[in-house]
Amino acid sequence: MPQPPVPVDWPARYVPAAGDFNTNITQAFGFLQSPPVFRAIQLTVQSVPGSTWTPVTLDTVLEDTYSGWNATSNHYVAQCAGQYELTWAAQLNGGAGAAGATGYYLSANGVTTGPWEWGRAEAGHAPFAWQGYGLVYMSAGDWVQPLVWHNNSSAVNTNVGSGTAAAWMSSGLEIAWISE
Amino acid sequence: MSGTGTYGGYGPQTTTDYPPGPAGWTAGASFPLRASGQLYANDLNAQLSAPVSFLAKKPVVVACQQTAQTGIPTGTTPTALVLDTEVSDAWYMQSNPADLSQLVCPVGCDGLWAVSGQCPIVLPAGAYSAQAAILHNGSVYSLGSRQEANGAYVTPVVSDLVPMAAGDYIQLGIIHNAASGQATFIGPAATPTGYLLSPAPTLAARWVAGTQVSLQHGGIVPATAQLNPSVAGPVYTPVPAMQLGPVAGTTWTDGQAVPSATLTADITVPVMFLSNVPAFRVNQTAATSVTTAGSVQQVSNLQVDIDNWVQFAAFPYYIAPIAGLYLCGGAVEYASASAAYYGAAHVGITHAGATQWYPGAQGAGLQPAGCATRMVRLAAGDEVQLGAYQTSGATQSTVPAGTRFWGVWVSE
Repeated sequence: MPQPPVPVDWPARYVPAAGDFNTNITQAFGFLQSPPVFRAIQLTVQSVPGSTWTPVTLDTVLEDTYSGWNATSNHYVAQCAGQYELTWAAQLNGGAGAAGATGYYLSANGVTTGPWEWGRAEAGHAPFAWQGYGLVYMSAGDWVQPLVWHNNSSAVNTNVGSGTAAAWMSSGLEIAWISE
Repeated sequence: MSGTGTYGGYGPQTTTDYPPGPAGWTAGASFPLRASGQLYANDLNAQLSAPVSFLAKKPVVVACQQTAQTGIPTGTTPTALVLDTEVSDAWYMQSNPADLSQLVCPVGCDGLWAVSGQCPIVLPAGAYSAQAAILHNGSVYSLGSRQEANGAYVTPVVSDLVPMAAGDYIQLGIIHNAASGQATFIGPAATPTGYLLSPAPTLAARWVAGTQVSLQHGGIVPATAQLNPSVAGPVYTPVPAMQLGPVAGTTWTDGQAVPSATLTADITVPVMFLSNVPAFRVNQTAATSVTTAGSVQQVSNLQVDIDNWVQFAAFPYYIAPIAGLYLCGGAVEYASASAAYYGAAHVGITHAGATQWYPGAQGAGLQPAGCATRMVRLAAGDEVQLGAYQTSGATQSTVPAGTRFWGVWVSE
């Protein structure tokens, strides 16, 4: 599995071997053009209890170029260290009187932290969608998991589309490695 | 250069010591295989190791506020928020100790930056609302979502594509219409305690593209590049015609000839491509009407602001010049109404005639604004667009000052 390139200092009078070019040219640009990317959405309705940070269950993986998704634990595991760009969204069907927010758990060095909240909207006005966009540093093995929260008096269901071709995209998470 | 910081960050230390950013490269020329047929170490260092070092360690900054900021005045002028805690800043962008609200563009990193922020704020009971903003060199560059708080805390968000030259700075701003003297909201300690408090005002930025502009790009829409960012920023430099895009690369074998053309294709082209990936930004110039609670409506009356691959020819769509994952963001601000409603922005993609909408963060209140930022997968030729959706019960107009759309290629 390609890793982020480590640039070399080419010494004078050094005659590069094929392996040097494969590592420092072909694999380096291969990684930079195609870094780890993950996208998944939710197509099965999920009940979300009130006033509880709840992981959004992502049942449909659209792409996972570095095999970072842990379906059992419902989280994305970084396969190489770096800054990751995250966008995620959650839709809840109902809860007209509720406030809501999104967030994520981050597990770094074996310690799970959070919720790291993003984008809280107030009660009322029939809210249905919350969304986040952030940058997170992860070492290899660290993981992230998207969350949603609302304070409706009872549980509400997530709102899902009818499939990957639905006109209205379901709750989802997108991740891309962007820098060391 | 407008900043007062040192803006002298030279980035993470590596085993090389070269100008870290595209400004230090001799980019755009064919790979200089010497007449003797030799590869010179300095050629490889300057045109391979230095760019790869930069492209693998692109500037990223995240800073937040952990001590609530009080005394935020009312009005329509954003108040810059002090970012007292650095989360990640390897390029030393928070380099002005006299003003910790500023994140300063480092030397050599002129170009386009993807910027995002959130501003938790507490407002008193009533129909009071707050809106997030990005400031560029002290002036409003973009307005984000607007949320009514009504006695609670809310978190308006904002994102945009910002052109910056070395020394330029960005800030996170907040606007509200309650009485003067309001305060930001800093949440409780995340679990376990000992980590940062959440939520908190946060500003993040990453370098996404340089200042060279391809005049030929896949042969889709060869035309004159749009070089009119709405604010003073980096000077764009057209480069010679070059077929930019991801490359397959060569699998080298010992004893293989090393022709200059192969090195140009395998080094110069990907360096130029990765430092000038497709990016766009459009502003709305005149209000449009959005019917209530119907389907998502495409936002029109958009004017090109940034379009380095000239892909807004099919106005008001952006046509993906190459396949890949794109980060797209937009905001839609709505006109004021007598009763609170919510208004949202969506990112729409049209593939083979079918359109999908990706919802963003809604805004709520008497004059809401929504903000959406999503990564979407596009095939070459797919269209991306900004969508609007609102629930007031009547047709509402957009507010051009708070309505825009942007995007940038992220990955194959």
